[in-house]
Amino acid sequence: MSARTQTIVALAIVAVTVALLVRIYVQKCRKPGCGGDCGALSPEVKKLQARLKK
Amino acid sequence: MKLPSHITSTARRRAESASDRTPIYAMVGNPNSGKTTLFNALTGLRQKVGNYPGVTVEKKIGTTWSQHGKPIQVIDLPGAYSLAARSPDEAVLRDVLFGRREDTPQPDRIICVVDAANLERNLYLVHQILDLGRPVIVALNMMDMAAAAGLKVDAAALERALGVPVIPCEAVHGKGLVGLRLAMSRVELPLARHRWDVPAAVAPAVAELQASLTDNEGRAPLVARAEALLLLTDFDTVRVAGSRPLSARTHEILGNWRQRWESAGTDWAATLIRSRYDSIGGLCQDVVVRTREQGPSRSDRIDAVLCHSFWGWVVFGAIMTALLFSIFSLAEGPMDWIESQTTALKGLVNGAMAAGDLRALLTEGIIGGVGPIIKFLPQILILFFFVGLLENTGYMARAAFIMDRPMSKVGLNGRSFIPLLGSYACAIPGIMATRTIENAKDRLVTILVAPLMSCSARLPVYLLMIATLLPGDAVSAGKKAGLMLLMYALGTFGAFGFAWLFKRTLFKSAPPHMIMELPPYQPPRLREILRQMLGRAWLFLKNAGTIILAISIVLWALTTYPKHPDPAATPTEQIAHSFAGQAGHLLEPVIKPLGFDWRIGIGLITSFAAREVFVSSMGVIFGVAGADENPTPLRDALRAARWPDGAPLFTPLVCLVLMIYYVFAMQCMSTVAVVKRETNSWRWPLFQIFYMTGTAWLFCFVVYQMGRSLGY
Ligand SMILES: Nc1nc2c(ncn2[C@@H]2O[C@H](COP(=O)(O)OP(=O)(O)OP(=O)(O)O)[C@@H](O)[C@H]2O)c(=O)[nH]1
Ligand SMILES: [Mg+2]
Repeated sequence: MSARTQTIVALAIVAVTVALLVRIYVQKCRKPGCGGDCGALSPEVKKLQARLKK
Repeated sequence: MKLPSHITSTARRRAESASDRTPIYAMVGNPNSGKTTLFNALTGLRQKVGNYPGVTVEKKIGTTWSQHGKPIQVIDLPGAYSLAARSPDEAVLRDVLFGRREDTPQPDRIICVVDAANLERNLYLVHQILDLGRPVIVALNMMDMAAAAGLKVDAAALERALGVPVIPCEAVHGKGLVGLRLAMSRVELPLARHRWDVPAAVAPAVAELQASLTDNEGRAPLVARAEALLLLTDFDTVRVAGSRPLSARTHEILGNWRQRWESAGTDWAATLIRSRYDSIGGLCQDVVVRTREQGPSRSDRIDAVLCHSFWGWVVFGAIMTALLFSIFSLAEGPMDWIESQTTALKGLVNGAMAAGDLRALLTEGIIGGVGPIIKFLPQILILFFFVGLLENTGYMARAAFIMDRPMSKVGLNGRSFIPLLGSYACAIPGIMATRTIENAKDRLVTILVAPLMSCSARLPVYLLMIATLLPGDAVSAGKKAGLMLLMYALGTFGAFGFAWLFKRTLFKSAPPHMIMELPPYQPPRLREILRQMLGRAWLFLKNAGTIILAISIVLWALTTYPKHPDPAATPTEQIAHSFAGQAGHLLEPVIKPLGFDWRIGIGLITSFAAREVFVSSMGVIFGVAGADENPTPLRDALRAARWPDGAPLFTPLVCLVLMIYYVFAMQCMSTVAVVKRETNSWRWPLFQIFYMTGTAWLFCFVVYQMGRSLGY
């Protein structure tokens, strides 16, 4: 892979990552709390809550 | 009149045929009676269980299946001794039962989980619940504990007396589940036979309030009656976020009656409560038989040591030392293995790809950022194993007990120690656990100081610094553990000190008395502990694979671009030229008095997301310098780092100061968000950031300058 292609691919990865980070941040703002990071909410419950919302 | 949406939707739901609707059960009972154990057994979920009161502080919803294969929703709730809520976790229970929660449907049926070994105390809540006029099933749990205490509890007699199904269970052993599920599957459940007659003089007040609650709050008649009784006997002041307030009309009626009673000089509230107790006392006489007289139980004998005013402390110290020692000695092997694997992976990528930005992103950004974090997985596992052990055996409540005296010196009580102890794992569940604290001021003080306890996210930072500070294998694990103990002690004393200060200044109130039950000891359930441990490990890895990965990638980009005009520039010159380098240089004047340079400054900025990001940032920034063909471990890269004048950057003093910084600084976005939610304002989280980070700076400044003047 040429140095130029490498730079383009690397920058594309960075751009996608930034987009994802922004998304996570916005989600956190909308639903404050630990977002399940603290273990107070099990993944099963989160799945259930999502299903219930639907 | 337009009805609020929750009422119309309830009405609509009622209109649908009853068989279509998923029935909703609520698990209700005293703290530590085994509600969550039963809930997990029914739903297959894995909510946290622990042998001390106040484990569950928020409602949790799950689904189970009836005997006929139909879904049933079950809500697990925090425990309470009475419906009269004195603390926010009890308010959650009250609000769900009365339909005051915006986000939770009112339960149709109630499972009262009762600790058979303490029947009389447990029946008070059951008695109040029966007033609600909802179908109730009593799960007579902990039958094994009752038998061990020499009690014979006659479930059939209780069933006859109450008129509702009573199912004997042992939730931990899965006994009684079939019976419980059968009862839950019944289409019709009998309503309680027992009726409690309100003294005649109080009846008009109850009736008027009941009418207002039915009209203005949309309650069902019997629920309204129960709520009216509760409002009349107890001050209903505890509020939690998400609970609907009472209408103005109801408040007005309540105020009128209170005034009238006060001027008449009769204490009807006390009369109401007393008559309830009398009725329960009579009930228990027919149901509980003591088969043998009991001497001191096994738990009492253990407590004679663990709660002793001297030996209690010795044991507490020994447990903490064992924890820290095993973090260093046991984890060594697996850590080295993980490190060698990441190094090998780096080498592999370097060998397979031509030099370029993508290769740099992979090796320096991704592997360099995430690798150093994953390395600490063994330590995290050990920490959570110990935490699980403490929670499972019942030692947690004893720790609160022996801590009551020092805590009362700072103006709090032992109850606040459980959230603080929980914060050793993570401040977020710790802050949630403050919901069990009755006094609002004490609760706020505990929330404010909880993040000072060294959480598991600081572990990687401490460990990296200790590895840099005390090089190689020459230093014994004991010495490293001692330094770590110092950091834990510093955080703990900091928390106590600030609690003392806040109670003296911002939140003056008398030191509260602690009332807390000490549950009987239970043998640790290894499966339960392992499950909690693996859950935490998974969260840790998930975090490393998402947030930390993303931050590492972005940080790599920020340290790589814009490119230095001179292609032959050293990696350090390149980072200095980059965006991140410029930001770090902006911060440098503020942190230079602490002995930190701009590169550490970048780490301080990025680790505001979460403390362990500091380690990955150091990996990205300093890993670059040591990259190329033979990558070195991060600690060696740090030890090789220099100031522009050639002086070493990570001197032992700087490593120590950095650790102290992380003891005090508020570097966790998730905690800020949770404090905001739990205190319902931005004021306290902002205050917390300010006072914690301010203290960190000051403390570090003093230590660094003193250390410098002493020649370190
Ligand atoms: N011996 C015995 N122990 C039990 C039984 N049921 C639950 N336990 C234990 O009792 C302790 C408390 O259980 P939890 O399910 O957390 O109690 P809880 O009612 O949810 O408690 P809070 O959430 O604090 O209100 C745990 O250590 C369980 O393992 C039982 O039938 N027999
Ligand atoms: Mg529970």
